[in-house]
Amino acid sequence: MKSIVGIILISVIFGCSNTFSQEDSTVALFETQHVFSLSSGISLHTVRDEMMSPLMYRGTQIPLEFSYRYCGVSNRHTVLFYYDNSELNSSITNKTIASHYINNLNLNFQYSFATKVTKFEDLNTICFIGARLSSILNLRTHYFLSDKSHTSAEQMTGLGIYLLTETIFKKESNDFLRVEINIPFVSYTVLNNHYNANVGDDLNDLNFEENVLWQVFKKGNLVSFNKLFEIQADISYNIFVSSYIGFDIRYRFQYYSFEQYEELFNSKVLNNQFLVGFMVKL
Amino acid sequence: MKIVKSAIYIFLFLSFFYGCEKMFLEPDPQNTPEQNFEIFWKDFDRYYAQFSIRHIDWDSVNTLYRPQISSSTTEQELFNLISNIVLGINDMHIDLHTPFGDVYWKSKAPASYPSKRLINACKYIQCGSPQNSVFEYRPCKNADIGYIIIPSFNGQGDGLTFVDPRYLAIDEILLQWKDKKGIIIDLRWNPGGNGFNAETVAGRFADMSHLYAQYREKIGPRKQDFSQWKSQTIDAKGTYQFLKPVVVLTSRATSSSAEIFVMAMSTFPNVTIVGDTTGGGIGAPVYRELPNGWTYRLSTRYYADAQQRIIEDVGIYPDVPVITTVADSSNGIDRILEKGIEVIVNSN
Repeated sequence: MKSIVGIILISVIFGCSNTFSQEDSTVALFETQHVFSLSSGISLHTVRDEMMSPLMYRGTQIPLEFSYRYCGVSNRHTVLFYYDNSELNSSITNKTIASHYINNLNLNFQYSFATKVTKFEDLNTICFIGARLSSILNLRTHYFLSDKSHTSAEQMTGLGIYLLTETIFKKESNDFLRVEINIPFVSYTVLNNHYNANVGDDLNDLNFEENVLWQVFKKGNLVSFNKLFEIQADISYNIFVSSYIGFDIRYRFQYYSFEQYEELFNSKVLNNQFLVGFMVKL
Repeated sequence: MKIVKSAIYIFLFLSFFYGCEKMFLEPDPQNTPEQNFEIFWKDFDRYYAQFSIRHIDWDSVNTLYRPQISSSTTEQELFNLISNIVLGINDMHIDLHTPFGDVYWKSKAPASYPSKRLINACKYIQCGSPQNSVFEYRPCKNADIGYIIIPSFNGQGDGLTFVDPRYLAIDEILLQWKDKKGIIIDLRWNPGGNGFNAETVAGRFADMSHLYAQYREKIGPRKQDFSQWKSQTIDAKGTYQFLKPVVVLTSRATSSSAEIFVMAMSTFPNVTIVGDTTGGGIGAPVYRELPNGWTYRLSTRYYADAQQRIIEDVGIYPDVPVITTVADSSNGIDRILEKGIEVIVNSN
């Protein structure tokens, strides 16, 4: 995994140095726009948390996403909220009386900024580079027996390298393909040194009469690729049926993995989303 | 033609991302008898904290049982074998849940214990139905003493508040009984539950902050990977604390979080523990599971009291040891409760 990160980073740095050296185009593909979008569809959430189980847990859900995008002459700003709440099952769920299933709440907030770095006239494509602040909460309640449950969570707020391309297929058209990739390189997380469901430095000295999420959140640490690898890639196609109304068809791939305890007990989370959004352009 | 081309692209695109799961997540371990035993044994080897306290050589368990398992071992045979291991450890926080049945520890409560939870209740306390879903509380007859039974410490708060708010009703009970000469808390049949609920109730009797327990926990996969001793303190909680004489009734069936409660209460100057030694099992268990769907628990800590006397497998010895026998029970005598009332009456 670390080699993949290395390759991506080298490509980004190499790509940036090339693109910045090109003549800066002042030709804008789009006029300034404010685009609001409400999306839903299907998400496939897969988790392997070795700290809790050797088995993989999967579930599908109908997510909800709201986004606002500002498209300037040479920059892009995006704010996004994402929500889904899935029941995750494994190969043994419902097969025995003591079946284990997981209720997984997934919340995601992102703010992205990107500025235009180059334009490929032949491909009708503009490339942007920037940064994304993303915050993910995956709150899982593990139900083992009828009255026994255990709560686990990952919360990570990361600052990442954000790459964006926008491609128009037909001249004079508002329809375009957007490809986005974000890789956080530094994150504030509460994942450190967690050996099993009960034992972790971050779980000491909590007031359990009050909500523990905020208390745990305050005990986070800054980590990088040595502890956490995260990537999100979006491919979307925007079709405008009028000057103001359009549809966004999106596939999103989100993956992160981290180690719980000194090269032991990896946790891996994969989320595939297929979303269709209704857009209003102002 | 264009549509066919687009469909092919979409199909290839979806196939690629469907394949992502296999690329990023390894397949589940195989559901074979050997693999199931291997995971079970390794989980205990990594997580279980009480081998040395219970004088168990875990490597020898593998040496003894592993050769008995092959690909032709049936589920029933594997169940019999793992059940033997679970029963051999006999820790109250180790249990096994399978389609062939559930396996639990053998309780330390002797057969001579009376079978009824309350013996001749109306002789000692005012009769009536339970007044709260987690507490049964009534005044004692013939003495100005309050009597509370806490049948368990089960229950959890909503979301991420781990304390069950029903236990906060203790505030109301104590305010109602603030003029009583004392209170008896009966934990004789309390098997535990959520330790945070136990601390929540105990804090309402604390005069100040007290160190009441210490524990070491498994913090790594090697046998010697234990934390340093960690301290557990109990603070005064709630708006009102009852600081008059309190008696806590215990038995060999008082276990787990109920022992957390007893340890905490025993550090307060106004509290006397009356009854039999407690069950001796606190442990902080975690759940694990096997590819065949069996679920089990195991303890990841071992506990000691404030003086670092190990509680696991031993229990907490009462300040005033008393036993109610079956013969007492047949004659309608609850010796432990009688002694509790006596302790409070004499302390006033």
